[in-house]
Amino acid sequence: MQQAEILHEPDRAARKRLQAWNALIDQHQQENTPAKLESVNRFFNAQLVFADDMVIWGETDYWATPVESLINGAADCEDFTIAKYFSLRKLGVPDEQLRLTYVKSLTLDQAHMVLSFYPTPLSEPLILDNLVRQILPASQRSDLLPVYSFNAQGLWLPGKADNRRVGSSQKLPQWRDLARKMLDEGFDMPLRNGQ
Amino acid sequence: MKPSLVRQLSLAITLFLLIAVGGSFMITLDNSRDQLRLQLGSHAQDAATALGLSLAPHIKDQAMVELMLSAIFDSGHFARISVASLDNGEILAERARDTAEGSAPAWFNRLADIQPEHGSAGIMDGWRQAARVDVISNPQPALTSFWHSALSILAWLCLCAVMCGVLCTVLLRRQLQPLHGIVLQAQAIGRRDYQINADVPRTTELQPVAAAMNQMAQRLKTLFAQESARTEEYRRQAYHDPLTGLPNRAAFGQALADAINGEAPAGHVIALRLQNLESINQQSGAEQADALLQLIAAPLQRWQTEHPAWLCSRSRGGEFMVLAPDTTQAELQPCVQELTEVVAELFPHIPANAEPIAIGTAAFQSGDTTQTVLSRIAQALTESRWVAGQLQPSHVMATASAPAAADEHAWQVRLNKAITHKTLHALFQPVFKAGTPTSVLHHKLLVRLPETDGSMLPAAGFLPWIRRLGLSESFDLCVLELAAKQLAAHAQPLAISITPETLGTSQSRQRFCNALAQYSLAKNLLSIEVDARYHADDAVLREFARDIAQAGGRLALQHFGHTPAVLGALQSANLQYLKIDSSFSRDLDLEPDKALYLEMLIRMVAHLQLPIIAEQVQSPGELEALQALGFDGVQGHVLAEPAAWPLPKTPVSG
Repeated sequence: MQQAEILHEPDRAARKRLQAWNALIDQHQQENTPAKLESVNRFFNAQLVFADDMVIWGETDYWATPVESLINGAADCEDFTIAKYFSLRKLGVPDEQLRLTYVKSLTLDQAHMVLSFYPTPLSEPLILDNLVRQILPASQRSDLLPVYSFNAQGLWLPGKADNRRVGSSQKLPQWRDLARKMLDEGFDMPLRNGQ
Repeated sequence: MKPSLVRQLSLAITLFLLIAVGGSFMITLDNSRDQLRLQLGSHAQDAATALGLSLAPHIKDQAMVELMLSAIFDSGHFARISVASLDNGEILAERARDTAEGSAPAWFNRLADIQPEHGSAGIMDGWRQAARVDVISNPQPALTSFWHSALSILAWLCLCAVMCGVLCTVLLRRQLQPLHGIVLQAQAIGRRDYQINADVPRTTELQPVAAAMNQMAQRLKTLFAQESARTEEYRRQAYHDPLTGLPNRAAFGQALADAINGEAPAGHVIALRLQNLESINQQSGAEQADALLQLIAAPLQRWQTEHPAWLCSRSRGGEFMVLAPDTTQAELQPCVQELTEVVAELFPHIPANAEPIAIGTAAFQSGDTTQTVLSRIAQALTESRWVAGQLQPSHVMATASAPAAADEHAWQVRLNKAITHKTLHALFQPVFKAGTPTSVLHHKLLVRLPETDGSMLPAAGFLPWIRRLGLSESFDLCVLELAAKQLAAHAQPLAISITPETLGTSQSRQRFCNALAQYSLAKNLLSIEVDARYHADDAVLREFARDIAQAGGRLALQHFGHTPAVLGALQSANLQYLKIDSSFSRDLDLEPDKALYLEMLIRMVAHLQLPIIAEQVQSPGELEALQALGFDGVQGHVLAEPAAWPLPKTPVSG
C-alpha cells in the first residue's frame, strides 16, 4: 500500500478509502465465503460512485485497478467488478469460483459487467453487481443476459517471476494493462492458479 | 605455420568476425524466438476466446459445436482443439492434427525450444458454465519459418563476413605491397646490385624503412665506388709507368712469365730501345726527353686498346716492350713498320747519337724460359741496324730450327673439319674450394684438338688460328655443345670459356644465348667465362649476363685484374665468380710484393660477395700463398691436371 500511495499521492478522502480497503482485507481473512462476498460487495458499492470511463479517465474504456478506483472514488461497471474480483482473491477466494462476466443489461439495454461467484463449477452463480446492490442468484437476475465470462485462469498473465514478459504481452490488452498496473502497485498475489 | 603479418591480421579479423557474426546471429534468433512464442500463445488464446464466445448459444447442438470447431481448426495452425463438458469431463468435440516434423532439423527444434502454447476459455449456457474449450497451437509452421529465417540470416552474415575478410585482406596486401619492393631491394643488395627504390610506400610505418634501405644502398654504392677506385689506383702505381701511362717493367715481367708458362705458348715481343736516354736528358733537358718518350709511347697506347691480350709496356728508361702472345711475325709487321716511321720522324730531334734507337722482334714458344726470351730480345735489339739513316728492325726466331710458319690453308681445313665433325675433345680440370682439396666448386671444360699422332693440342695452340680464320663463333657453339653433353650425363657445375669475338656483336651474342637456351640446362649449372681483358662495354656485358641467366647459365669473368674498376659498373650484372689473371699470382710465394695488389682486389671483391678464384696455380708455394690471401677457389696443374671424364678420384695433392 505504501507503494500505491506514493504512486498516486491520494488526497485525504482517498487515503481514508484506501485505509478502509486495507482494513477490509485484513479483518475478513478468517470469515466464510458468503460473508466475504457480502463485505466486499457492500464495501465497493458504498465507497465508489458509478461514473463513466469518459468522465473519470477521459477514455472510452479504461480498466482501473482497485487502488485507482478507490483513489478516484468513482468507477464504472468493469472497475467495480475488477475491484471486487481482486479483493476476493486477496481474501483467499479461489480463482475457479470467480468469473468476470460480460452481460447485457436488459433494462438499460447496454453493455455491463458483473462478478459471478460459482460455489461449484456447475452451480448457478451469485451475482455481485453495482446496479443491484444486493447479492442475488443469477436466476433472480432476469434483467441480465450473460454473454461471456472469464477469469485469470486460462489467461496469460504475468507472474512476478517472469517480469520480462510484462511489457511484451500482446494477449488481452486490457488485462495486460491491468496486470502491469497491479504489479506496479505491489499486488503480490498469484493471478493464476498454481502460481 | 610461419607467423606472417598478413596471416596474423587475417586470423584476428576472422576471429573478430566470427564473434560478431555469431553474437548477432544468436541475438536475432533469441528475439525471433520470443516473438514467435508470444504469437503462438496469443493465437491459441484468441482462438479459444472466439470459440468460447461463439459456441455459447449452440452448446447443446452437438453438430453445431463440431462444425464451428472444425471451421476454426481448419483455418489456422492448431495441434488440437477440444470442447469438454464441465458436467462429466466428456469431450464434446475434438479435432487434432499430427504435428509431423517440419523441414527444420530436430537439433534446431530442440535448440529453438518452441513449445505448443495453450489457450482456454469457458463456454456459458446462460449463467451456467457448460463447457470448456482448449486450444493447443501447432508450433511446426512457426518452427519451419523460424528455421528458414535463421538460415537466411546466417547466410547473409556469412556473406558479410566473407566480403569483409576479402576486403581486409586485399587492403592489407595493398598496404604491404611496398614491403615487397623493399625485400626485392634488399635481395638486390645481396646480389651486389645497389638499386635506389624510387617507389616510396605511402604507408607511414613503411616509409622510414624504405628511406633507410635507400640510404644504405646509396652508401654501399658510394663505398664500393671509392674502394674500386682506390684499388685501381694501387694497381696503376704498382704496374704502370707514371709518365706514359703504359704498364711498367713489373707488369711486363709478369705478363711474359705468364705467357711462356701457359699452354702451348707462342708469340712475339717487339722491343724498342732509346739509346743514351741519360745524355738526352742532360743535353736537352728532362722535358724534352719526356716528350720524346711520350711520342714513342703513343702508338703503343693505341695498340694496348686495340689488342687487350697484348702488353705494351715501358720496361725501363728508354726501353719499350710489346708482348704479343699468339701472333705471327707477319701480323706484327705493320706494328714494327709504324714504330719505324715514328722513329724516322723523331730522328732529327734526337741529339748526337749515330744509332739512337734500336727496334727488334723476338719470338717465343713452348719450352722457353723468361731468361731465354729476354736474351733473345737483347739479341734482336743488338741486331737492329741503321742503313743510310734508316732503321732496319731485326727479328730473332725462337729457335734456329723453328717450324716453318704453319700453312694457313692447312689450319683452315683442319679446324673446319674439327668443328663440323665435332672431333674436338673435352678435358676437365676441377676447380677446388680453397683449403679443401676434395671439395670441387666446378669443373672447367678445356678443349683439345687431336693431332695426327694421337696427342692433344691445347687450346692455346690453335685458338689464335680460330680467331684468324673467323671460326670463333662456331667454335664457341661447338664447345657449348660439348658442355651440354657433359651436363646431360653428369649434372655437376661446369664452366666453359668463350672467345671475345662471340661477345663482339649483338647478333653473335644472341645466337649464342639462343643455342644455350635450346639445351634447357638446369639453372646455374653452367658458367660462361668471358675474358675480362676484352671487356668492351659495361652495358653489353650486363645485357649479356642477363640473357645468359635467362637461357639458364651464369656469367663469370676470367683473366680479371687488369681493370678492376669495371666491377663497379658490373655490380648489377649478377656475375657468378671472378677468375684472377694468373699473371697477378704467378710466383706469389717468391715475389711477396705481388700480394699487395691481390689483397686490395680481394678486399674490393669481398664487398660484392663474389667468389674469387685463382687460375693456373703451378706450385705448392703459390697455392699456399693464394689460400693465405683468402682466395675462394683454386685451379691449376699443381692440384689436378686436365683429364678426360671420368676424372681420377684422388686429386693430385699440392
